[in-house]
Amino acid sequence: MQTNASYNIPEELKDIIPAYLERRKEDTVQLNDLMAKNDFEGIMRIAHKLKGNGASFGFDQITELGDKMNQAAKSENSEEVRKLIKDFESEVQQIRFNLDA
Amino acid sequence: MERMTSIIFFLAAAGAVILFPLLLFVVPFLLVPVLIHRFIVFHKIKYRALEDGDREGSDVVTAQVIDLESWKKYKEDQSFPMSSVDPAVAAMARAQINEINARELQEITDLLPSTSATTQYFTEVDVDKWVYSFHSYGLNAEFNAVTYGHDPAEAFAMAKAIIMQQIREWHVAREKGEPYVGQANEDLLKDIRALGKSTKPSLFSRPSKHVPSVLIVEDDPEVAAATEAVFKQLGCETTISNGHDGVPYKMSFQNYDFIVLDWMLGDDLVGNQLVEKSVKIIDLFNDLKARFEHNRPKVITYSVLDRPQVQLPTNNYFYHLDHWRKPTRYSDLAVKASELISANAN
Repeated sequence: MQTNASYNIPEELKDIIPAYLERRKEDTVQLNDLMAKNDFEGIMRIAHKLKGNGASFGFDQITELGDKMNQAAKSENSEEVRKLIKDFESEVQQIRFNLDA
Repeated sequence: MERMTSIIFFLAAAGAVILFPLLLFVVPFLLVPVLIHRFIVFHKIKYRALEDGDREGSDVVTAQVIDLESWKKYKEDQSFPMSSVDPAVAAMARAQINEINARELQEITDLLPSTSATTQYFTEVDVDKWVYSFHSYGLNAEFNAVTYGHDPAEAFAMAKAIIMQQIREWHVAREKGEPYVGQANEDLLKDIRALGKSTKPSLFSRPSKHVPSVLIVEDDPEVAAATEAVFKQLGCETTISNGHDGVPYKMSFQNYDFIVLDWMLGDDLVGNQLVEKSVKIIDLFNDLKARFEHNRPKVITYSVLDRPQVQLPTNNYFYHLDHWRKPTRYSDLAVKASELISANAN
């Protein structure tokens, strides 16, 4: 897990980060809904987006989780996807906590 | 008497023999250049700048003519007597006007009917207040615009948008076989007194250069904002689209230098589909086809997918310049964008 110091957030993006994290919080709700419906296609779409945007904002862990979630959803590995959704939820909470601190 | 009649008859016959070929061949040869001069692309470009004077309550405009050659043709126009103007402003204005004539005016005239006569005026009516007027007439089509701005480029940009709209309307009228007259909204000039002081640097210090325009098609609002921040820092004009807001029309009707195209746009929309739709729209309009064939926007695809998985459909209007792989750190994105703008600077 990244620490506050290890987030490499560019100065120019600092104003955008709260909106970015708010949207990731919405993603966790949506991912849980999709998992409840075994909608792996839907999970792959969100995971794909996470893989693409995390590192752009200095959150490498989100990119990594998005990549793993995409793979697990592709192979319809429910157990792994559930675990990764939990990890993602924790990561978003941790980032918010660290940035608020 | 009979001999006299024979002589007259002979002279008449000889005259007919000489005059007939003259009428048949020589006269048309004399007339054709006159007709060509009258109807085929005949651009009269006049420049003039006005002195900073109080013209309240007077229709007479005091003018300094920048382009003296053109002025000589119109010197009988007593409402524009010559006077003085700051030479530095005149020089900078002339530089802007030259650039407009070299690039953007050509974009418009290329789209006008081939048998058009076109006149444009750049007039400085007050400090940092420029009026631009455009008039073009041809067979069955007329285009008019009167606008104002803080400098020639600003006034011209507004007129360009109006004229391009008129050109699109003309195409529709032409399809119906109807004549077209695009009206200039001269009432607009009433607002010129309300035009405040320019917030931009004055003509003295402003370099005259093309500002690259970038369309960012991205369904993730924060990624779009980050991408926009990068291009704005480089001095570009930016527009953001989420891909679901009629962006093919923007891609077709606006002049973008670069399009940064996210490939997977959500709701099963792929960048490819936007390009295909834009191509279909452009194909419907000859003016758009001409513009895009002459000046193709450069597309940079931006996706988690690898380059081979991202292919633009074959087309004549959009050029797939590069592919940027996500995720890209902001600093790397800034470097890529900077290289893109420098490599493609006009």
